[in-house]
Amino acid sequence: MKKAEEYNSKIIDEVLNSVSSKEAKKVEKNMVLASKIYDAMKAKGWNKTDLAEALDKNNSVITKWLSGTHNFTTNTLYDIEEVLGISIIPLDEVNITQNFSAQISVLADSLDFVHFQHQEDKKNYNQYCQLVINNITNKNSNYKTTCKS
Amino acid sequence: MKCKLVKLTNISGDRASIYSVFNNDEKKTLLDIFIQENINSFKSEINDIILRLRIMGNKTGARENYFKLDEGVPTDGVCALYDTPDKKLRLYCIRYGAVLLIVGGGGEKPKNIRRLQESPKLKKENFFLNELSKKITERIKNGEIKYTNDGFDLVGDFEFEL
Repeated sequence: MKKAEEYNSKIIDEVLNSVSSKEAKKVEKNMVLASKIYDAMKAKGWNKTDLAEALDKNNSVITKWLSGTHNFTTNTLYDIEEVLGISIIPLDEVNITQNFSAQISVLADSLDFVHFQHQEDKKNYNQYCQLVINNITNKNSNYKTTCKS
Repeated sequence: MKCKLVKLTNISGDRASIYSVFNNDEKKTLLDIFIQENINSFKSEINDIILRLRIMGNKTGARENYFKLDEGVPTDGVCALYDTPDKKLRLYCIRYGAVLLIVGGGGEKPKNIRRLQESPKLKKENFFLNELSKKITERIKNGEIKYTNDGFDLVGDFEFEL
């Protein structure tokens, strides 16, 4: 038995090519969030009515949330996390990668313009700046920090 | 009317196989026609619909919560992609679990009607998918169409006379 014929639609391609990656990411996030909530509901043995009652909402609101078309606020997500006992927004550890190349030049330039009352202060500041610059350049200008809440 | 199911490679993926339908000898599927009929008036809605279908194919599967179920005869699998009252478009589909989706046609939701079935265009699109769904169910029962071993695809005879 044969599989169905495959068809690459030019019309669909045109639509997809006209959409920005930002827009696509936004739609994806809303759909993935909806799936997480739906899965958590099912795991808890809840239906829409259970979630609606727990959050004091109408069923139609829950239907929209689960449809993947809703733009959630963080407060709504916190409320959902609370009643379903899940973590949707991870806050424990956030990896932030920043490109410090711009900061390096600003820092280096600032050495010539900062006014110091005491020579010792200027020396300390120079040493501090040098330390930071070395740290950054040693890591190929990508200085990775881990922020813990 | 002759029609044929085809798998849409641009939006199918490892989470769901997404199909549409060629009618007679037309060069466009029902989804292509739906896009062309509405892209000028409702571009952002069309973008959103196509993105959602691609995400279902590649990331989430065609989960039931993304659809308005029972838009046809109960249990025939005909549903509509979820839309809020403020949205202007309705798109009909047939779901076979979260891994197989047949996208049919649809159209603009007219104002001032109580039920969408009162719109001739939507009624026609809905009716067509209902009939197609019956034929597919018959063929699955007869073994003329089967699920692949992984359940992610169909094999068999995909040409129909409606």
